[in-house]
Amino acid sequence: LAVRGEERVLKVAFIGAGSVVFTKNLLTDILSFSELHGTTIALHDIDPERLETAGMMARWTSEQLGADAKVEEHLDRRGALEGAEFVVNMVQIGMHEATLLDFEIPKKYGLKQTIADSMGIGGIFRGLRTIPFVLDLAGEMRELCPKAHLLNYTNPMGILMEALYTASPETKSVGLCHSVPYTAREIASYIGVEHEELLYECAGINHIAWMTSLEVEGEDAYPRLFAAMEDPDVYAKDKVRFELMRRFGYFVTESSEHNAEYVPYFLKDDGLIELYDVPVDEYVRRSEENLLQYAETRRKLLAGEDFSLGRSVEYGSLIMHSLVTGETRAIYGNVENTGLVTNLPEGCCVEVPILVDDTGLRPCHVGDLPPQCAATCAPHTAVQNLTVRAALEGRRDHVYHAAMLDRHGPSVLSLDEIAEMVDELIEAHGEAMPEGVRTSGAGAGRV
Amino acid sequence: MTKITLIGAGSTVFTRNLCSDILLAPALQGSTITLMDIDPGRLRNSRDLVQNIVDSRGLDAKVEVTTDRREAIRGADYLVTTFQQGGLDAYSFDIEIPKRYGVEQCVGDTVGPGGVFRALRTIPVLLELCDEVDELAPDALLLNYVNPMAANCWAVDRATGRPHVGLCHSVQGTSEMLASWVGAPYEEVNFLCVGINHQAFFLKFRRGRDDLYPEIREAIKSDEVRGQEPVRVELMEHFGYFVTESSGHASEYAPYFRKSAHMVEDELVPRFRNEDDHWFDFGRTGGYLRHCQEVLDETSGDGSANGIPAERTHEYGSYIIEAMETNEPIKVNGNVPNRGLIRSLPENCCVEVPCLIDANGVQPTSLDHYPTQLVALNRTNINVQELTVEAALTGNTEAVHHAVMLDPLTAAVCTLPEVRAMVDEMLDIQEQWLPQFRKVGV
Repeated sequence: LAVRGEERVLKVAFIGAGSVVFTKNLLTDILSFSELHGTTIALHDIDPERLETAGMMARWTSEQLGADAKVEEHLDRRGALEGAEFVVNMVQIGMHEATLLDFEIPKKYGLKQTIADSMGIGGIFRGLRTIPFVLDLAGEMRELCPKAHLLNYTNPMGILMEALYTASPETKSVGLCHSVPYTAREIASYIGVEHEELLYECAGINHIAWMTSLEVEGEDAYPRLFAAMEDPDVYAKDKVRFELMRRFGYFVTESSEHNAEYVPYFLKDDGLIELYDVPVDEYVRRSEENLLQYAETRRKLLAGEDFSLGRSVEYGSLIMHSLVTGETRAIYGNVENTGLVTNLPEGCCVEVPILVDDTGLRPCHVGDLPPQCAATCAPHTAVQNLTVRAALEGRRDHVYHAAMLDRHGPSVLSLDEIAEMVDELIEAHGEAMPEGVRTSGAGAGRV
Repeated sequence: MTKITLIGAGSTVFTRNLCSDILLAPALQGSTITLMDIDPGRLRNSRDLVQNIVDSRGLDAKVEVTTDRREAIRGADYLVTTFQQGGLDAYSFDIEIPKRYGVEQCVGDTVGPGGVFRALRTIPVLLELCDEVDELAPDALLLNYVNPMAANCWAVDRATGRPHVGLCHSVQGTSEMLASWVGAPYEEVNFLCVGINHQAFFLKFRRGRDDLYPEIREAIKSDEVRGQEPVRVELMEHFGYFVTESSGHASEYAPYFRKSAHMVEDELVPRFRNEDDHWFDFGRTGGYLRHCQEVLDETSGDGSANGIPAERTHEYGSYIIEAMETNEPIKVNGNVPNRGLIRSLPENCCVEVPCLIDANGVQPTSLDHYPTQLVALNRTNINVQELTVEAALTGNTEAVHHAVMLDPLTAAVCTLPEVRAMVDEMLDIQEQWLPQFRKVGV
C-alpha cells in the first residue's frame, strides 16, 4: 500500500484508460464515495494522445466531485501497476481494425455476426489476441503488486478469465460486467415496476446468465413478464430474449443483439434476421461511434466544456469501497467454477453472486441451473476452454475445434468452410495471434 | 406480516434475547412472534418476558403462545429451533455413564458419547418438525440453534433437503475476545473464519488491512490470556490458527487434554485462571451440566426478574431475518451443507462458512484453500458426525457404536469392548427418547 504523509493512500491502476468515457464513469463511481477521496488514479494507455485525454478527464472529474484524486499518466505500464491495490483492465487489443477483420472475414463465408465480442468466431479471435496481453499483465502484477485485485472488464469475459485463473492462479481476479443489473432494470421497465422493487436471482456464464427467480413484493414476477411480452411495443424491444424466454422458460442477461449470435435460431438466414430485427454488424457501427465519441470528448475537454456525471451500475467502485470500508455487498462477478454451479463444468468461468467485504470476494454456491439453461451455457464453456488451451498450449488445432463447436457458426457453415475461415483469420491477425497458433501449420485435427 | 416462530421457547434467556433482538430491528417491529414449548409453565414465563419487551418499548408486535407445535408452525416465515430433547435428565446420562468408562466430558454436547446421543435424541424431533413445516409453512426458513449443530443440520439436509441454516455465537464470541486481547476496537476488525461448528478456525484476523496474528501471538504470552483460554491457546501454538468455541469445549474434541480424571483435575483445571469464567467449571468433567442445573433453578421462578436487554446481542438470528426482509445484504458465519464449499472436507457434511444473506436467502460462499492440518482435525470430528447421522436416519445401532469408537477422546481412553458396553448402556437407559431404534412389532 502506498503511503502519502501519515495516511494510507489507495492506488487504482486503469489499464487501457484511453477508453475515456468508461474511465470517466468508473472514476465518477469511485470518487463519489467520500472514503475513496484522495485515491491515486494511475492511468495507463499505449496511445499517448488517448492517455493525455484520459488524464484531462480524470482531473476534471475529480475536481467536479471535490475528490482530491492524485492523477498520474503512465505510458509505461509498470509504473501504473507498482504498488496498486486495484488494477482495472479495460483494454481493447487491436482496436477498431481488428474488430473489422473479425466481422468481415466471416461475412465473406456467409457468417453474419452482431457483436462478435464474447462467443462465436469473433469472441474466439478477440480472445486469442487478448490472452497474451492479460497473461503479461498478470505476470507484471505478480511482480509489482502481488496482492492487488484485478478487475477485468475486457471481453471476451469467459475466455480471458479462464486464461487468467488457469495460468496465474495466484492473481486475485474477478470479471465484471453490467449485463446482470442492466437486464434487471430492463425487466423492471417491461413489467412497469421500479427496479428497486424487483428481486432477482441470476447465474450462468457471462452474457448468458439466467434470471432463475424474479419477484416483486413476494410474488413470482415471471407471469407478469410473460404477460408483458404480449404487448407488441414491449416485445419489439427485446424479441430474441423474449423468444428464448417463451421456449426456455427464463429470461437471459445481456441483450437481444448479443444473444442472437449465441444460439442457432435467429441469425442463419435473412428471413429470421428480418423477423427478429437482428442488427447484423451492430458492433461495427458502435465501434465507429466510439471513435467519434472519443474525438468529441477530447474536443470538449480541450474547449473546457462540461460532461454529465452520474453513478453507473458498474460493480468496480462497490468492490473497492467494500474492501476499504468493510461494508457488506452482494455483486455479480465472473469466477472459476469450483462447484458453484453444479451442472456446469468444473473449471469453466461462471457468473454468480459474490459476497464482498473487507476480507475479500467470496463467490456463492448456486447449485443446479434449470437443465435447459445449463445446456445453453455448456457448449460455450467448451468453446472457451478450447480457445484458452489453443493460446496457452500453442495448439492451432484447438482454434478449429473451438470454431466448429460454436453454436452459431456451424448453423451456417460446413466444416471445410470453418477451417478455411479460421486459417484466413489467423493469417489476417498475424502478429496478434499467440505464438503456437500463428506458427503451427494449418489444418483441422492436426496437432 | 412476518411470522417468526420459536420452537423450544421455554429456553427463557435465549428466547428473551432473541425476541429483544428481533424487536430492536425496525423492519421487524410489527412481526408476530409465536412461542411454542411443551412445558406450559416455562412458556408462560417466556411470554411474560417477551410481552414485557413489546409493552415497554410501545411496539405493535404480536406475541402468541401455544403448546401445539403444528399451530406454531402454520404460516410461519421463520422457524427458530432452540429445544433440548430429553432436557437435563437425558443430558445427565450423557455425562455420567461415559464418566464411569473413563470418558471425561466437560460439555458433552458436540461430539463424544454425549454429542452422539444428544444428536440421536434431537434428530427424530427435527425431522418430524420438518415434515410439519413442509405441510404447514413450506416456504419457511429453518434457523437451527439446537446442538449438536453439525450432526443435526447434516441429518436435516440428508433426510429432507429443506433449506436451513445452523446458528451459533461461537464465531462472534471468539472474535470479540481476540479483538480485546490485541486492543483493537471490534468494529474495526475483520476476519475469515471457516471449518465446522465449534471447531472453525480464524484463517485471517485483521484490523483494516493489517494482519493481527502477530499481535495475537504476542498476547498469548501473557499469563492472564493463557489462564483464560489455556486449551485454545495451546491448539493455536501447535496447529497455527485460533479455533472457535471455548477451551472447555475444545478440550474434548481432541485426545490431548483429558484422558483421565487425574489429568483433568491435576493438569487441566489448574491452568484455568480466570475466576469469572466459570460456566464450564474450569474444564471439570460435567462442568456445563452443573451450570445448566443451577441456571434452571434460577430461571424456573419469577421470569419478570430478568431485565430487558437495551441493545441487540451478537446472535445472528435477528440479523438474518432482517436482511431477508429488507434485502440489505449481510454476512454471517452459518452452518450449511458442504456443496463444494470447502473442497477438502466431505461433500454434504455440515460446514461453518461465511454466508451472504439478502432477500434471496442464505447463500453460502466457497473457500479456495484450507490448511491441511485443519482439514485433518475437522475430519476426526466429522467422522463421528457422519456415523451419528447414519445411525439416526437408518435406526442402525451398529452405526452408533462406530460413531463412538471413532470419537477421538473416547478412542484415546476406551478399549473397543468398553465402547460397546458403554454405548449399549446408553442406548438402553435413553430408550424413551430414541424412537428410531425401537424394533417394529415388539
